[in-house]
Amino acid sequence: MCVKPVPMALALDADSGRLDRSGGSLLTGVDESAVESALRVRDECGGEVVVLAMVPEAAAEALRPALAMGADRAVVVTGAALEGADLLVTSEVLAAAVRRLEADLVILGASSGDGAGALLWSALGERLGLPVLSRAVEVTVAGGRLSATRQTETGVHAAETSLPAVLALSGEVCLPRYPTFRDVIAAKKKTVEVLTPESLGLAGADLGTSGSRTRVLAAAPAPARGPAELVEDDGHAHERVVDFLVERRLV
Amino acid sequence: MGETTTGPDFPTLFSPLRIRGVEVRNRVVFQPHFNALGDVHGMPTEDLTAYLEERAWGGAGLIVDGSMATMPEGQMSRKYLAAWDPRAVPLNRRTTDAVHAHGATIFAQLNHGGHTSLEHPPPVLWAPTQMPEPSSPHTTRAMDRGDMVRAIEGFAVSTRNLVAAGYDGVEIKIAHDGLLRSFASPFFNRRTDAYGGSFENRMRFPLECVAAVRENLPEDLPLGIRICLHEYTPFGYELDYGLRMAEHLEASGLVDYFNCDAGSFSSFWMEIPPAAVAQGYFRPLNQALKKQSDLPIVAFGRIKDGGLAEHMLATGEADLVGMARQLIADPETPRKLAEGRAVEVRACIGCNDGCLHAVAQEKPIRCVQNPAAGQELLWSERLLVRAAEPRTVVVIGGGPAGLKVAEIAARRGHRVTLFERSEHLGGQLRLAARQPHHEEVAEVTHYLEAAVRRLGVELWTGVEATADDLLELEPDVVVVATGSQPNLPPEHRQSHTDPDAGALARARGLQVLPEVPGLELGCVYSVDEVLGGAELPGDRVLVVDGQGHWEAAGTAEFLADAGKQVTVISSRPVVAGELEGTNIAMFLQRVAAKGIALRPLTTLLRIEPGRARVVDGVTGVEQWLDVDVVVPVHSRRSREDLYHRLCDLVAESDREVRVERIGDASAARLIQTVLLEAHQVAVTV
Repeated sequence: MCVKPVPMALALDADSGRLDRSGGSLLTGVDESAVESALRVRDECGGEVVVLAMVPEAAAEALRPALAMGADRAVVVTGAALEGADLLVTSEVLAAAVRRLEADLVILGASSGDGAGALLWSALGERLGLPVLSRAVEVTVAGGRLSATRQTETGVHAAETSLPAVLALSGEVCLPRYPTFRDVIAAKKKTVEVLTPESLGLAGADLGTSGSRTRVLAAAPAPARGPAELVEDDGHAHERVVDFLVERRLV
Repeated sequence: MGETTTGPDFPTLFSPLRIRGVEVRNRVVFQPHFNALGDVHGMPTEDLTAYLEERAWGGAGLIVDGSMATMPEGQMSRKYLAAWDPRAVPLNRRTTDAVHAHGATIFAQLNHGGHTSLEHPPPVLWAPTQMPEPSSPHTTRAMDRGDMVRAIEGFAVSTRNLVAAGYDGVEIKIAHDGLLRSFASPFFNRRTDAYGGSFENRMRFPLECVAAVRENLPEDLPLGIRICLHEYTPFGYELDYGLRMAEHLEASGLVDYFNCDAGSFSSFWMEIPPAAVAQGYFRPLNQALKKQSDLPIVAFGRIKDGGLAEHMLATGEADLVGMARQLIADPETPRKLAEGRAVEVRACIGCNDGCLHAVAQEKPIRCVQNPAAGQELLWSERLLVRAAEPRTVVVIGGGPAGLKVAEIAARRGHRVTLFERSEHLGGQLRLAARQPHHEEVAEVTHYLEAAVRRLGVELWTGVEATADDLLELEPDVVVVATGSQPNLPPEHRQSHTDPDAGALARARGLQVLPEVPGLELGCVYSVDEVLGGAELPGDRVLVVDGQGHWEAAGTAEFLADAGKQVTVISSRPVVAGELEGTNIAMFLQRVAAKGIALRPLTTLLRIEPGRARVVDGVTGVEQWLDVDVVVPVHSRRSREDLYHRLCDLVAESDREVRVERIGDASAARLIQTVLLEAHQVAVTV
């Protein structure tokens, strides 16, 4: 199962225009919910849950809560060569890691809390040549098959596929479990396996910024919010609020 | 040094303003207030200098020091600053230099205490007509012309001293206390000479004092008036009269700005309104004065939110925004707003427990939210130093004490992990915030939770730590902040959901259970159960106030609001007698409206299903009260068993682990005390 720890403070590096990932990172609710889904599949069908992430080494600690929840082990792919990797590179690296792990089911959250691309699962399925079930809100694994209820713009669909497969969940689909104190201590003792691109046979490949097809042309901090407008309610405040929303085409 | 930049989110708040010959860098005013940081001779202490310097460092534009007394007969308390005394000049110079060094402007406020007094009043109080201020036990002496001449001279001498000490301006108090408002007031001034009888005559003496100050101020220094616009008493004046006073003062041409104010000692909950008074409640007063006046207006009255402050300035209802308590709670408020860090501001919760409650007893000012208030030289956050060696700190408990120790330890560079057994941080504050008018107490937790998340503290909620496994985390320091629980017998229902955490301590003789028969019965509900939303049987509830603070009083209100018939008994002479003055005054007003019955000097003897036996503390007569539910509020017991087990384990092991217990886990107390305690522990880690 793949997760993406997100920096606690979202700030752009002024030179590269990329997100500064040097500080602490956290798993988002979407990822925690995906971990929970993976644990439920394992508890039902057996096997093991491996948490996989491509992150700078400093962010590897962010996988610890997933281990406390009950994931069997964690693997990070890290290396200076991966800095600045875009979707194509990331999917290539993760696909290599998934092949190494010989996963039967690859689970991802809908999108990350920083980039919010919501495409990685699709690219990963393509690279692995596996069927992809996306936007899943309910998941069942039985008899070597994956079935899911999908929530889309047009309604709720039931879909089914053979394993191995890639599964992308739709947001926070279930409540993550609380670990016990014992679980937390045990998780702190688990080692997080560190893989490098070289160890995955990607040595010499174009990775990181150089291999990415996406270029950051410019990045600037969001403009200051500006003073808030406070509307005093003289009995007509609701009209002002409605006008405000209509002006901005928000309703 | 300390220059704040223009905050794009608060453009008006952070624009400069000229008052006469003085430019103020922004619109935030640290309002004058008695802080009891003078010594017993009315001399400013180093603590006072540090207190005001901290607010200048934090970015305030204008600081108004004081009040200060103009003469010994006008010194409301021993610690009220003695502006008339030349010995104060070099000490005040120390303050003005410290404030100026941070780029802020500093005025001083002058007051003659007149008919109002605090602890240790002068031998006799002065007034236009002999009568006590209705809330005071002291009567007054009616002033003769000689007294007036001396009082005017007091304003003149004091002004010269202030100028020598380097103040940038002088503010005169015709506000919620003091002599000058009593002269202006038709109720307090019944004179028939040239100083009473007509409006102009009543304003004559205040104007003579204002003129004396103006004559002794250099040309470029401004003179302001703190003016009470509405007395909020049944007998006093209202807004129209307050505005007329302001108009008359402005017409004299002697005044450069007005600082708004309201209330009197007989309505002191409107002077320094507690949380039960809405934020921005007094805005109509500010607006009314602004509308009629051409002078800069300082707004007042529970303004703590930067957005509201900006709105008030941008829409022209005031020119400056007064904040006293908000800057006591977070001296850095202006700087944080200006730097786009509004989310980091620590809000005043309007409790008055640290500030007003202390100074009313002539004790140095304190703050629930800010452990350093009034003792900046000891505990200012500016004094925090990074730990030479980062250590592994494990905190057990995510209530205010645990969060505070985590915040400060993390700021010092330690690796901090915090475990909270419930799914939410905040501890008992989450329950306290459910009491009527107590929502703002939750801001203590909001601030701390945001701070520890920002600082990267490793947080585990929904995880109950146990002593047996704790040492496996290899901590250098363990801080036990597990809080307290209602001290009910282990047979009581609460043990099913909140297991007894004092059994080991009791077995060792370190804790005892209360000796009231019947506390284990099903009709007994703890405060935690009540505020936690338990469904109570029947309508008649007896609340036993063994503690005198909000735990009982606020719970009684909570129950009354839920439609229960509530009786509160207390063994002491006053129910809720430990509450701060403005809070108990407003509580008693609400008690009447909500039909809550109060029975002081009444002690609970025992409980049986459907009834409670009580005894009258004066007559000794016993009586059965028919009740459906009893809510006993006596001292809570520390959840300290984990601490003892951990100490035993550390002693048996060969590890060097420092184990501390803080907060209610040490002894159940009010938030202010446990936050300071947590801060003190965290700086030694």
